[in-house]
Amino acid sequence: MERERIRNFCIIAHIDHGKSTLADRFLEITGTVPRQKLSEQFLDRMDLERERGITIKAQAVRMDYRARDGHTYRLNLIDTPGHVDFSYEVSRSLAACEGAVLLVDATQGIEAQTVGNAYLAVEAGLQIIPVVNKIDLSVADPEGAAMELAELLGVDSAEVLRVSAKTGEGVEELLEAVVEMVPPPGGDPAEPLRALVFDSTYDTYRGVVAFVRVVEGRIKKGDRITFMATGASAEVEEVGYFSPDMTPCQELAAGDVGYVITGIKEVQRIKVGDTITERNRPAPEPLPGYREPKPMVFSGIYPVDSDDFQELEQALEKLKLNDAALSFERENSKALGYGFRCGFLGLLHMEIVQERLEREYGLNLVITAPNVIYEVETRKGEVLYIRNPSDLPDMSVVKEIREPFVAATIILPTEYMGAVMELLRERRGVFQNMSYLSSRRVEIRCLLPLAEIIVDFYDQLKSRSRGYASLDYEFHGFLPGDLVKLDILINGEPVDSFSTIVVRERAHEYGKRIAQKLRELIPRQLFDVPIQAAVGGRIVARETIKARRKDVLAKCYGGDVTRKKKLLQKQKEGKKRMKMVGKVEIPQEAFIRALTVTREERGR
Amino acid sequence: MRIYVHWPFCVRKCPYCDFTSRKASSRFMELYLSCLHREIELWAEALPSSKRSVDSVYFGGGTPSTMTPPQLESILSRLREAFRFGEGTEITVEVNPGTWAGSELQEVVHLGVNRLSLGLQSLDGRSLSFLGRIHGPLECRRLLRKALDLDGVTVNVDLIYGLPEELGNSFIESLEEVLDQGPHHVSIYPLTLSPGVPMAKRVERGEIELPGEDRVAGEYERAVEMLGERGYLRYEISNFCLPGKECRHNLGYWRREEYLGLGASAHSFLGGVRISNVDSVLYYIFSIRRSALPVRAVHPLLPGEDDEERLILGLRLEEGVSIDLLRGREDALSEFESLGLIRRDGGRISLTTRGILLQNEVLVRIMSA
Repeated sequence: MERERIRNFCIIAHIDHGKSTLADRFLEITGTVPRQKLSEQFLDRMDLERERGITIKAQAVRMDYRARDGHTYRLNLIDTPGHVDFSYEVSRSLAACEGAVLLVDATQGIEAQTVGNAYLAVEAGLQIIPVVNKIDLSVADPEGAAMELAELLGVDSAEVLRVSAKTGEGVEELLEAVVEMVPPPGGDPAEPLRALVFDSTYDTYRGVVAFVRVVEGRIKKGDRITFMATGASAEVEEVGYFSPDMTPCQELAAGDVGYVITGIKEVQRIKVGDTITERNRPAPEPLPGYREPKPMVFSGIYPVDSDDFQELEQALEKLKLNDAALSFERENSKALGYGFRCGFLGLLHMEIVQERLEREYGLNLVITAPNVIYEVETRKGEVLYIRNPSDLPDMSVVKEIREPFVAATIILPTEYMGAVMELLRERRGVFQNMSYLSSRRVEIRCLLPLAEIIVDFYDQLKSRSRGYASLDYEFHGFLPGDLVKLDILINGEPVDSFSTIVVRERAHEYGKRIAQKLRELIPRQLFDVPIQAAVGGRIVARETIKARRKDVLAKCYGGDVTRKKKLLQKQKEGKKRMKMVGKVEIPQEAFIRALTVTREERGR
Repeated sequence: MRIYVHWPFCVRKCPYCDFTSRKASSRFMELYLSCLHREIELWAEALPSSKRSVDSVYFGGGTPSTMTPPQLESILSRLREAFRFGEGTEITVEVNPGTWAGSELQEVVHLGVNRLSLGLQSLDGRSLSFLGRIHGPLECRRLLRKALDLDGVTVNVDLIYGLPEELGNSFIESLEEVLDQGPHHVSIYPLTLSPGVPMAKRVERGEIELPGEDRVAGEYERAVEMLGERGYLRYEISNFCLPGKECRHNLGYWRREEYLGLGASAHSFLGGVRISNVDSVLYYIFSIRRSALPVRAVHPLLPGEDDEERLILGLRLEEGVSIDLLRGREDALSEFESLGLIRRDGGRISLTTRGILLQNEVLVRIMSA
């Protein structure tokens, strides 16, 4: 098909604003998938995603649409992930498009994520089509939502389309608008090949399936290609498109969206954002915007039963096959034995991985409270990245500790401003600016330490705004702070798993909280056990577990010795499950509870 | 040989009690009594003559004082026919206030009973009703005075500590009052609830709050002091007496002497084998009626179990155990000594008051060392 008739676009929407339903209507109207075959929300493939109502893996569907001008257009709908953890993936998906449908729920108005992604789309030079969805609902306020969209994009509110993805009302008009407004792709098919990998998936039999947008040149079966960032080379086994199933075709040319299969089995060699070129006629420059996936949030993952260690390792390796952003390395903790320190893009990514490990691999896991990555500069000028606070070098050789900050956008009704500003202050937020979206709603922009976000920030934001505030953020950079390593000592012995990095002024409060928790969880011993929180050599908080006083079954009645023996035997068995920290016996359970308590308290 | 006779009947079962007992009904008691007679005969046939000399007899329950003195006499006379009693054979009967309020005490003493163990538990009305006892403090005082008036009879008083904090200082006050009366022997037991007993369910439901271990330990320590000041010697964790008034029967358990248990849920230790009778009174009656010994389980001791029992039982006693039993566990011993849990005296090891309170932990550590 001639490039004039191709339209590459995506839908940008906040969670639950109806993106998947709209995509379903597109598939139906264009006849790509007959209505009866449309399982609800076709584009979300994984069960987990469906349950959470979010999209993790971007996909691209080719639809043929006969427009009112009598011509048939090829519409490539590229799905985008809908969560802040995956903003890099979003940006790559956007780079594969020329236009974006910006979808807003008429009952909700625009949310922080809408704004964040709209900016990304504008920056990527996309034509934006503003749309208000759910106009069929009686509580909808299409005019209000349209006003906000108009304000955000600097257009007239009359230009905002109104649809109901559920009933189909206005959806054809939207498709017409896509045809009319989204420009056809540029790029010269005669130039050396440059194709953007905007996502990939893993197929057990065929290896990595790369989703690509051909920007220049052509690609077909048998071509010898190179991935410019990773340097991987391969021969193309198959190219094709999704309609919505994988459909092989002759070639993909500049402007086309589709997939490439090469037989490469390792996802690490085909990374999102990489550029494919011909080996014998390479492009001089890769496409801009490639970035290594950078895990920002880390947590320890341990098998509850140490015999499951190898099973866990195998499961992580398998998960990594289709999750290039997941990183893990072996780690040994005094309290929990052998496990892995795993790196994630963010909290949601972390929870998805944990859930998949537990659900798909049936593993029983101990997952420690998450921490962020720290950038540490030593006095010698070395820069280290610290994934586990216990790895922090001695403070005497540390020149500066820097922590990751995010640039956050928060949108909320004006009446909750005070409460939310207070939350930002508590969480060490650095206010940047504020603007009114309407007389009722305001947008706050600020910098926040990521470490503050991964501890129940979102829940707090929701509860202090009665659920009305929305949040979006992207990585901003590492900023220095007055950070210290807080160690926890049980009976004078430091316990690695409890080490954390905190702001100096909060060290006492934080140390006290952990110490109190441990005092509750660790059973009393034969002697007093001090629990101390220390910064450097200085104790900042202390609790004492008083020595046990009584453990005796006094009545040995009527000569029933066997009962007493059984009881002692049981107690003896229990001892085997104890972990020793110096002379202190701590049940594995207590460790697990103490280490995971922050996660539970987050209440997710 | 020592003989224990279990009498599994009570006027009313106490809500904290986990021992085998049924409501006292005269028909059932008659039936059970005839079975006891038969069990005595069965054992007499089974045991060699060398094991038929009796050093002590102990009637426990349940509530043995729901028997009439003639019923008790019928058991004693069967035992005297089948076994050899000596001049000094100790014969103990547990007696609860609210029973045997007439001339029964006198009568059983005439039958040869020379030791009475009184289940007073407390002298505080609120505590007694919390414990679901059938009697009040008055019956306790009356029974104690009557028992102490008897000539040639050793009197023990049972008291329970570790009651809920809202019952105040009732244990210490009860002990004080009991000591003023001067019984020969005092046993103090902490309230211990097995899962499933009615009181444990009330605790689960949050209707009752049991005291923390610090309070319970404090009560025990205070009691040890008070008893010591009045000249009572602790010879076992829970048992205190004036010099020479130890309960020989119970000492036999802890010293691993042989004993024969008769009745439902009774236990025997014969020829290095531990034997448990069936728990249920009905099963007990069924099996006796078939002329079978009502045995539920026989546990021959495995190698090493002998020493383990010596430790478990011996460390309950003030005399402790021989250090030979603890060879190779020097590290554990030094640790316990430095924590003030044990004491070395010549070739023997015994627990201190602090160690007694932590006896289970000490035993488990020694056994795991």
